[in-house]
Amino acid sequence: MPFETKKTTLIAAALLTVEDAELLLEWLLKHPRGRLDLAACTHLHAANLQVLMAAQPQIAAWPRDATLAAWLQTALT
Amino acid sequence: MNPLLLQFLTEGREFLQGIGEKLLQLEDNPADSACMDDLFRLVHTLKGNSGLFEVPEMTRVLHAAEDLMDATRAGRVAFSRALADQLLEAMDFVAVLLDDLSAATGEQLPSTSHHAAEAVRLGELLRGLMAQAGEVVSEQLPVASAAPSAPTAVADNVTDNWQLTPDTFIHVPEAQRMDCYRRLSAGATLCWLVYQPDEDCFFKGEDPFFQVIQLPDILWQRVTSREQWAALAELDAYRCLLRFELIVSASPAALAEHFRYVPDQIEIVPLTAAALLMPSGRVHTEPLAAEFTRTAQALLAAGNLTALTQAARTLLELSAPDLWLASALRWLLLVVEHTPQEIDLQRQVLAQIGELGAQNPPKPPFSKGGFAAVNAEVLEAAQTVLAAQRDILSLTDSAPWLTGRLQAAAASLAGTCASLGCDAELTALNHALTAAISAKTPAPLLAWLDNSPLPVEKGTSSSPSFGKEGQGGILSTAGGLLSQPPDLKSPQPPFSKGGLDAVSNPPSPSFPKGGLDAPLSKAGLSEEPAFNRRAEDHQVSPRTLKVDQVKIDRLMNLIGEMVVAKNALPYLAGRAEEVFGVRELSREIKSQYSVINRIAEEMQDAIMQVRLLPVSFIFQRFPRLVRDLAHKLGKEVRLVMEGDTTEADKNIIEALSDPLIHIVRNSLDHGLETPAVRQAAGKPSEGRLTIQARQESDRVVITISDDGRGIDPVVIRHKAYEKGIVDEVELERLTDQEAINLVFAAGFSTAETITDLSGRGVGMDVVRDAIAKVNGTIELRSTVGKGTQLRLSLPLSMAVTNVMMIESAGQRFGVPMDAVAETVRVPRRAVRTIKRRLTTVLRDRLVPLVALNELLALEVPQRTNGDDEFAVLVVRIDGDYLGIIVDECRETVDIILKPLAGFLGSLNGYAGSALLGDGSVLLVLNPRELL
Repeated sequence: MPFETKKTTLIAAALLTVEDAELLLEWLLKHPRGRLDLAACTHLHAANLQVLMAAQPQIAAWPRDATLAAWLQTALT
Repeated sequence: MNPLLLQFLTEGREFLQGIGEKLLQLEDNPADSACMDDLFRLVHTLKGNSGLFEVPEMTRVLHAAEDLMDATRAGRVAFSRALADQLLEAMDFVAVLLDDLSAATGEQLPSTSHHAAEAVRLGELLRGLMAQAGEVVSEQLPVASAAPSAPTAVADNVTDNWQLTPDTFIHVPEAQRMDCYRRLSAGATLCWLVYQPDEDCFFKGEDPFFQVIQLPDILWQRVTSREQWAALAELDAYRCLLRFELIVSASPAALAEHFRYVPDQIEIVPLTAAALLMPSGRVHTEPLAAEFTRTAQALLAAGNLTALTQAARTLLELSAPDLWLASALRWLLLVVEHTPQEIDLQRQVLAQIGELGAQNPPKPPFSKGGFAAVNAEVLEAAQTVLAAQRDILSLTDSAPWLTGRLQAAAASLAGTCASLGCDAELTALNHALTAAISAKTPAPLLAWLDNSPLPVEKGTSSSPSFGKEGQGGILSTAGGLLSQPPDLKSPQPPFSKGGLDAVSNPPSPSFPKGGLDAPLSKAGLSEEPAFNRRAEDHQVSPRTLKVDQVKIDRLMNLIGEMVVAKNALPYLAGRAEEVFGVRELSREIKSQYSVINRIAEEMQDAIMQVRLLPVSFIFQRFPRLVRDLAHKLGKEVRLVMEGDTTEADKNIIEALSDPLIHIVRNSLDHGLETPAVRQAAGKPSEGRLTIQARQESDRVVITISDDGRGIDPVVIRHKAYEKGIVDEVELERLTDQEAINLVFAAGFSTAETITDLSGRGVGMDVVRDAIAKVNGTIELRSTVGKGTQLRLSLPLSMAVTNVMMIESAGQRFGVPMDAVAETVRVPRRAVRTIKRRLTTVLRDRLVPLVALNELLALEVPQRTNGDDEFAVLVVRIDGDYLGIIVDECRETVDIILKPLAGFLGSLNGYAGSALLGDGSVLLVLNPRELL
């Protein structure tokens, strides 16, 4: 399982693969106000990116990886 | 070291070799387009492969070489000697890098960064050759025979179907565009890249995001969706709707390479400075603009850029930073500062500004979203701050903390100025502050505040929010405030006629600068004809296997043992008959033996074939060697190589390489004369050096001959005497041929001066020893004035040695067959003693005789047979014959000769040992050492 959930916060693992996009989407559907902790994330598959862009969830923590963070910020804000 | 790297290293060397050959071929026949194509392909593949590893230096040089080759191939650069020189040098550099890589021990690749400077130099030299030819990388036609389709498609994509439209850069902030502009005018290559992955790309295992995120040097990026996202509940996560837009600092070619698997999903447009030039902001009629335009145009016409800059700065200070006018002015300053030569661009900007003054401003489509709103908010905030400062300064009490208060107010003002970008005002503010403090009155500051162009009520829009004070824009419009002199600039497209529309229009490709992009991009892309490398890879599905030599050696050893084991069968047959008296069985064993024997021999032959290498393996380096040396020595030499498909065992070939180089060098240096000398001697000015290889029975014969000055025996005698190699008596006795052979003596050199080629007195003796080590012989013939010929004769293979077995003093020994000339029976009475040495006359030739027992210090006299005849083995050593008296000559056998190792290694007189079929050990004599 690439995620850990704490109440309404989803903590992503280092890598979100293409299969994880579905799980991510499910979780976001169940937790419309859920927050995402991406700090540990170093890369996520484009499908995940799509889900995030469509859902525009609250981001509790941006990735520590500067490049990824920059990309996500341009995509999600 | 990982297998991929290993393979790259081996292949890389092969490629380099191939490249060198092709280059030399081309030098002879520059019009050979097939050869040119091959060459290009080699360079291209090598470059591609090098990209797999962290060796940017190699890739850089190879890339430059590839571009040059491509230009040459397309006929834009003529093939010349200088070009070949340059390319060869580049390839040498690559070879050095390969060596570095192969020297690596751990898993980590060694860093090759210390070669970086050299790589840059070579790259520039190579590109320099292209530039000389006039047009650079630009117009390239995709000539590539290999993969014409894909590159063209992309090129079309770029140039025809896609253009930078006015909206392209809407989302790129001005600051970023200006940054790009600066980079572009500094010579960087920037590209606008749009990547729209296929809707079903996720199902093909692609990760577009990963692909994009891997791009280096991204200056600006945006990711959007192609259509509105569906509601989350209906969202299909696996239907890709992403659209990436980026500004990347990379060449179109590099980008095309990066996205080579999805060429139809990307659009690449090389950016031009002009395309970025697009002032944006709130449009506001500007009465001053018209006047400024007039002045500025006059200044521009007069070429007075300094004054123009000043005027623009002044106006800029008077304009609110969020205004379209301010943006245009910043662009104008930027253009003037970075590309003063672009008069046209400057004119365009001015023209647009002029129209702004004249008419009602255009409403740029994005004015609302952009700076205007923000700045309006900032402005309001600033006004609040300024009003507060004014109130403070207007206090009339003279509190003891007046100084502190003044400073605080000044700091607030300074902060406001700074956040509005009006740094120019800070000096004045400082002066006012100093004055105020020394006078202990806020008056100077108030005066500054009144005079300074800081905010007034006249702001534009007032939007709420942004309540934070302190940052404010102090700006104003017409009359007011300052603003910093940022760089402005703003050329605009020529069709500013529409005035207002134009203003918002980003430059479109039609104008002067933009005009360039089209060809450029085309070039950039087609330069890379390799795009669908995947397809190309398959063409070269290897028909040969690369096998580690160790494995072959193991096979060789095994077959050796097999041969030995097989040889035991005849003994067994003999025992069956003699000991057990079963003749039938003996016959059957013998017939089985002959079958096994045949198979074993074939197998041995097959394995030997595997180890065979063509002599071209060493010959291939001669064209380059000869070319370079001849060049250096100022001689004209034609190299003729024949029979380079002749094969010999790998060990032999490898042992041959250094001696041959020595010989060729000697020929070039000492043998062949300079063109002038040759002509004087009535020879063609071009010397001829012939290297021939051929197979003669079980030996390989290599002949190196030149038509140079030959070796003069008189000179040799003289030199040899001088160096003390021979004494006077010997001197007299030497025949001319013997004198010539003195060049093989250690320490001999005829060269007057030591050059870096030869003449150090090591040379021919080393050559002879090296050849002798692999059981080869060397012969030298020379005629003064006509030339010299060296003949090397080598065994085909060293693995299996044919020896003759002899018996002496009850022991068996082997003597290599290649040393044996004949075996004869010599009657005791035919043996004479001359000067206490045994001799006999054999076929009218005097042959000295030695007894083997004497040589081996065995205290037993040689036996004779019933007719009182000695068995004599006549061996040939360096062309002389010698008879060795033994007890008995037996059959010859094939053995695997193992050199004596360990403590026995220092024993002289033995070539090695071998195991016989009956399990006994056979010592093999080395007649040369024995004497």
